[in-house]
Amino acid sequence: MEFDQHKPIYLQIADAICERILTGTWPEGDRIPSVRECGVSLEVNPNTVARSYDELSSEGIIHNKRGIGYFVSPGAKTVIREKQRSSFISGDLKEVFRKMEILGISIEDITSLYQKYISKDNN
Amino acid sequence: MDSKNPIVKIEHLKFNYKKHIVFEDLSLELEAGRIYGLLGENGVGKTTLLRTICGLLRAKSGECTVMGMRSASRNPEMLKDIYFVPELFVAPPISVKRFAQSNSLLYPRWDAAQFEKLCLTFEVDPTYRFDKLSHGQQKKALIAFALALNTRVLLMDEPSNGLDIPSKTTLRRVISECATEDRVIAISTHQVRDLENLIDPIIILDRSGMILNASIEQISEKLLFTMSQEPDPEAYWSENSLSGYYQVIPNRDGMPSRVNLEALFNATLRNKETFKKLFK
Amino acid sequence: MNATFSIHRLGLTIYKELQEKYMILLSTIGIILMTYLANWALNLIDGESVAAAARAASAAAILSIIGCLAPFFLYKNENRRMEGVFYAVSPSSTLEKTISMLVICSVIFPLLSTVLLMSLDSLLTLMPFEARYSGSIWGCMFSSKDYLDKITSIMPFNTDPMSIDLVNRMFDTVNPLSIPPIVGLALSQSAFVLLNMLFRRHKIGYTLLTLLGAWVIAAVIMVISAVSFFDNLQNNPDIDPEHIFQWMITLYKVFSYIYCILPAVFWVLTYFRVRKLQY
Repeated sequence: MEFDQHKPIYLQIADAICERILTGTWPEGDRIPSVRECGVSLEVNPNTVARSYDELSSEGIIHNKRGIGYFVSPGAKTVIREKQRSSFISGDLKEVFRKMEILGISIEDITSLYQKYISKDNN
Repeated sequence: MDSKNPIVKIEHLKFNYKKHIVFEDLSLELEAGRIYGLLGENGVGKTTLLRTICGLLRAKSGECTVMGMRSASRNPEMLKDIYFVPELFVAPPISVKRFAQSNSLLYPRWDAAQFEKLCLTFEVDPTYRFDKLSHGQQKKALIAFALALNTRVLLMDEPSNGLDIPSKTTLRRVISECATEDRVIAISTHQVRDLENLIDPIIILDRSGMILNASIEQISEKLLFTMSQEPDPEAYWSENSLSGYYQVIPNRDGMPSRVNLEALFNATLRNKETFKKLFK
Repeated sequence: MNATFSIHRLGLTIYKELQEKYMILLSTIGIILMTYLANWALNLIDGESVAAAARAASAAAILSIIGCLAPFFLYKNENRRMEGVFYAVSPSSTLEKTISMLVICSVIFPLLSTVLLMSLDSLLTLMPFEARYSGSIWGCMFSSKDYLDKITSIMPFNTDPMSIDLVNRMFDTVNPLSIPPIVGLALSQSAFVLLNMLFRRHKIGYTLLTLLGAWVIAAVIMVISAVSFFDNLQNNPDIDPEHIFQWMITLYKVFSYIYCILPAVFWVLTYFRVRKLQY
């Protein structure tokens, strides 16, 4: 399994789970693969997967039902969107602003490009 | 996982082959529920350490105990809960199935069904004669056998050596599956890429002893693995690439990063004393 | 369960080793049977009938020689660094491993090969050829002490025809004390088992060298003691022959005891060797 070189594995796993929850692949209330199943399919140390699951549990995205497994918590989508929103703003957006500064792109250029993108999307 | 539960305890181990000193004063503990990666340069004593733990070799001084029993006494109560997969071995002239049947007799947690399943996963036919299989097939068969014994301690010396690429993937999956809370697995390897993401904690050995024994989490707390445009003056190690400098630097701001084992290894070799103190 | 010894574990160890080695066992016995068969074929060509006693001798010879070589075939790899890993790591105590070796080499193998060989012989006696194998060697084998005595190892005591009278008396006293040939076999086999475990490479070669060395040393000792004995005799011509006779008898007894204990000693040494082995 190929992972991104820069982000810690346990975070990448958490991201992948969030992605699947957001897109609806794993609907709220459904059971997700166990720590062991996940470890096997990703070829990763089960403790690393456990760490991801712990992290997501503490954020309220998934919860553990003793003896049965992990389930997507109700309202997980909202939590994830919020989390990704703040991560985008503090991470990706910052990088975009940095590049804008270097390349001399103004916020007005961005606004018009964004309008174009939205209209294309709607069509 | 949180409470310390060391199964293997090594204290002030000294080992030498005639004039060649392998370790001077090695002390470390292996805890249950973990898959340890044993890294080090050639001849540094990885194989010697593994063989000492399972009683094949006796250290000149110092103690090595497994579950409270001295390895050197080769107590069958200890032996039935430990298994060693050597890097090179000579397969006996009997079928894999017969080998498994006879050698598993004295192991209490042998699971024949699991063995069959593992052979299937590894695409090894157990009815074949063990010595007639190719080297890679033999290795896989022995690994399947070792895993199905379900011993509490499993030691593997370069298990991915000689395996083809699909088999390496299978190996990773299979080790991940068989790593349970009460088991400790120690794998010595040169091919860190083969076992990346699986081994955690990492033990790096050196001629003078142990440089570090830390979990990936602890390593990523102290070290930052990053790609940057400028070379960092405090970098422990850096590699020039097209996108900039890939470096291992002190993690001043506590940023998360992915621990790259090759980079870690190179950085360790360059900064042995510093890392010894850093990861005490 | 005792850490050192458990009957159950011993049984499992023996069963395990038999499972691994039964092919070697059968092929070694096969060699014995083939050799005997070849012998029979030769006799057939010769055209002579062979009596039971002579056959017993050759049967005993074949059994002893191959029996002493058996440890080298059965336990060829157990003490070698690469091949012996599985054996070393196997969860039996050293004591159980040694006893298992003893059971397989000195009980199962000899019993099985003897029974099969004698059965083969009985089968051959039924063959309607001119050069018949007559009589049964079953009885002969176990009473033909003299034959076996000649084949097995060291004669612990050499007599010198100094005084015929003395010698005769000696044999009369010694014969009832004579050691059953089975001890000789046990001694040779135990020695070979030890040497097999001692040497890791060129086992047969080093073993032969060791035997040669031992023989040379024994010969030297005997020559020296004989020379000094007769020197002594020459210088003191008036020693009571009875005295010498008693002394020789005691010497013979001492050697006999040593002879009988040696197999046990060798097995104990084998145990320590296996314990000390490193891989």
